[in-house]
Amino acid sequence: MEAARKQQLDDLCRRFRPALIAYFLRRVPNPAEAEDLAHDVFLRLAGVPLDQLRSADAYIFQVAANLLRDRARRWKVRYAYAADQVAAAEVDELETHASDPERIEVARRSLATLVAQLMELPKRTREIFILYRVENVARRDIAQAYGLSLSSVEKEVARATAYLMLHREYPR
Amino acid sequence: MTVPDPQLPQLALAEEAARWCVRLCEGEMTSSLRAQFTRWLTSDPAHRAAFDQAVEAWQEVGAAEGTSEILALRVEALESLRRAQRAGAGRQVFGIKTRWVLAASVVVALLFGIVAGRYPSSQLYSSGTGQRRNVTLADGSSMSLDASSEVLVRYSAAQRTLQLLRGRAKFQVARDPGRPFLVRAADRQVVATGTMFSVEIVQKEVQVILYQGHVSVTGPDRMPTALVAGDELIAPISLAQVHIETANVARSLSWESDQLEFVDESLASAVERVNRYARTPIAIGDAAAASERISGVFTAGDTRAFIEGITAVSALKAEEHNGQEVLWISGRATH
Repeated sequence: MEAARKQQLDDLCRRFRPALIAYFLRRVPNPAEAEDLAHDVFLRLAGVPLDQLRSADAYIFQVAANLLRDRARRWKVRYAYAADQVAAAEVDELETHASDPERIEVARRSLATLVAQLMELPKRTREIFILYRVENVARRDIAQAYGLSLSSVEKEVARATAYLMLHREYPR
Repeated sequence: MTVPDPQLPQLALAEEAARWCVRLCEGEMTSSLRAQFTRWLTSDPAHRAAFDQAVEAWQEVGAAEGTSEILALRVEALESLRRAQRAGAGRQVFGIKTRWVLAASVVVALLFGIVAGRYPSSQLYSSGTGQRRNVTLADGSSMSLDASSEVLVRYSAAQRTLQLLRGRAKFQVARDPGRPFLVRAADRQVVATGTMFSVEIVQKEVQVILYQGHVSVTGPDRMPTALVAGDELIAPISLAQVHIETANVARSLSWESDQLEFVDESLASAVERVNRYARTPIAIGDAAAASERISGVFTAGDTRAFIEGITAVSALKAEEHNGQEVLWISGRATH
């Protein structure tokens, strides 16, 4: 039971950690703090009945938003004057974003384009990317199956990701 | 001397950002790796932007994971992994971790990602030629698979998603109003709560028959069509239009008792269904034969009886060609 739960948490971590860190990086000044906050999100998830969540991702970003709000309030108290403006602005920003918790602006490339671009990748690269990113198969298991090193798996995933990054269709 | 590719530094940066995503996914980083990440992020605003773009690309793929297009790629990737693991099992001294070693089963092909209790979990159920399968799903719903059919089942806390990849399946849905039961077939999606219905892909059409309860079917235009019990919805793949008629319930269920019953059916769709049971599939020789209308009750798997039956009462003619029976309209079989 505990093992299954831990697996579930690890999988959520796998799926959302980079997105959470990106989310926090937009709101806190330094990367180390962003990582700590992401870590705190997963600590808070430890007590939550994950099976009963309607939508794990919405919940995770809600927890993230709450953490930021708490943090802003603490700052407000601690630096009553100096930080007041900053913290208030930060809380405001949170309120406006709360309805759409997944603040990462997902590119609106059409599904057909996305699939076409994935198809342009070498077959093995595409498969490894899908296995790692979508199926949550452990890097070690992929490495063993294909007879690759861990860093080669990382390289294949990175190659596929970079291809999608460099062929975005929308202006930035 | 070669001119440096202007894309190269950008490519290197994108790959580096993506590698950080992977490392972040791999759980807690060592303090030196954390320091490296911080240094990397803060040393150049372009690094921050690239990291955001990498996350975006991942989110984009994640958001599309349930679509039939991406599902096809997932099935391909999982099958490749399974093959690689089988091949690798012989090669490696220590073998692969037991949780990835799967019993080869014709009945239920258990795919990956997928081991019970994992998140997300999906399972591929398939039936071979001439085999029908009954499957009880984790929530108590049951699924009856026609021969040569495939359904990818993916349950989460929020919804039950099933993708009919080919063939036909009938679903008896356990009631769970909080967790919709979604069946996707090509570009159509059937949403149900507690009910019984079947979905079939045949001749570039999705056909949905509702036996009990309510379902709503949406297509590429996202407009839902509600069905009532006894309705048969016929939706040409990739067209928004749908057509609803009254289903012949008994006839539509005949496949579950190994009977294939056709009334004024095109030869093309009848043959596609017969072929789900045929060791050697029947071919259709020409377009005129494909659109010939046929009727009759046949035993699933008895291809010979089917060919004899229809050639006896129609203008169709059967001919053996390279070991395969080919149906032609008579008079055109002179190739």
